[in-house]
Amino acid sequence: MRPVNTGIGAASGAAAATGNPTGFFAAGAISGVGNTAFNGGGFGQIVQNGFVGGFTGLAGGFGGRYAFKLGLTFNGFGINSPFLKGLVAGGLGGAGGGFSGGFTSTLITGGDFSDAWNAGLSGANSGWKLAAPIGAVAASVQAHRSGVNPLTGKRYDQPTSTVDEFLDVARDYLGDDFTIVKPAYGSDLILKSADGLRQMRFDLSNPHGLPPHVNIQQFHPRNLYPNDVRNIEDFNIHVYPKKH
Amino acid sequence: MKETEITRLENEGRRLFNDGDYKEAIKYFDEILSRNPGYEYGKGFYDKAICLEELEDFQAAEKNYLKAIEYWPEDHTRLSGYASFLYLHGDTEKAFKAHLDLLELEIKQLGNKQSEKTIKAINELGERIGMSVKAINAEIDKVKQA
Repeated sequence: MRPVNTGIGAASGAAAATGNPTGFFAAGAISGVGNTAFNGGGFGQIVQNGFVGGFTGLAGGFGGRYAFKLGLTFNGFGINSPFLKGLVAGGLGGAGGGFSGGFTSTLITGGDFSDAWNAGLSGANSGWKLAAPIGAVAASVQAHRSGVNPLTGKRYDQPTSTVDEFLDVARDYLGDDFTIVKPAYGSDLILKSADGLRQMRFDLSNPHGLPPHVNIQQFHPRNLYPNDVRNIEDFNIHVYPKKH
Repeated sequence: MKETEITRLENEGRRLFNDGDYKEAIKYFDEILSRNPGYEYGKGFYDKAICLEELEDFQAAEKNYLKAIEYWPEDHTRLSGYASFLYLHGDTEKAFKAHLDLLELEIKQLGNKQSEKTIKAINELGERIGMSVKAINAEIDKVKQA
């Protein structure tokens, strides 16, 4: 195991959690520099990816921070949860920054339009993955500091969250036609999107050593062969409904 | 939201897996298993299994898939992962059976909403082991009516 690499993740997360622009930049830059160094990148590449990561983190952090204050509508539904607003807005900000960075730098360095377009798409993909969690953390920190529950968007001093409020959050993330699953073992409840690629798992009665929490997960189909049934996990974010 | 040490290990292991650094990822999943094998109902075994599969250590991968399923037999991710593993690297009859088990879970949990791929894979695997279309459909109907 690479203890230093774990440290990079921790340092990046801690920087994002500061909730300020320097922290957002540092979060992205730490990831960019650390991952490039561990993958054997040269000094020039490390510096370049550090800056790219930094600006992507900045886009994600600002996206998340301002998403907390702004209204956000997705698939016709208003998103109330600061965490989800941050995830979406941070991811979109990072994807946009990543696309323009990849597209522009490829054109500048002599690539043709097709190469630039592909580099842009690749940059958007990396930008989304890097910036979405930073946006989610930034929005959650901002909400928490304002006395608002990051998951439900309700104030802590308001009555305890109701099932209806959770369902609103679920619709925001999963779409209106999600399925409710109550397994006999494991999680208490799973809400699954219609395509099966997003889910919210409630680990309340047996949270396996953590405080009671909700897992917010996203997957993508592996598609290694035509009827491949396996999905690959993109992220599993633990959200704790109660302040602890 | 708060990241604990064990969730950090999980996130880092996943990142390494998605980057293709399977050997390094296993170290993180092993660390999770040594601290708390019941974390996420034994998910560490599944995460380790998919790494071992990529490293072509199929025997160890299968052992870990089965351990993960033993911890949580009704997890779609684990059953679909194991079925896919058998499709690629296992005995075809076992793969056929694993896909039927997956179909049963999908019908039970999702009411036949997400089983299109699974049914296609069952048909393909059934043909590979020499079953007639009628016999394959009978197996699928048996699961649907269970």
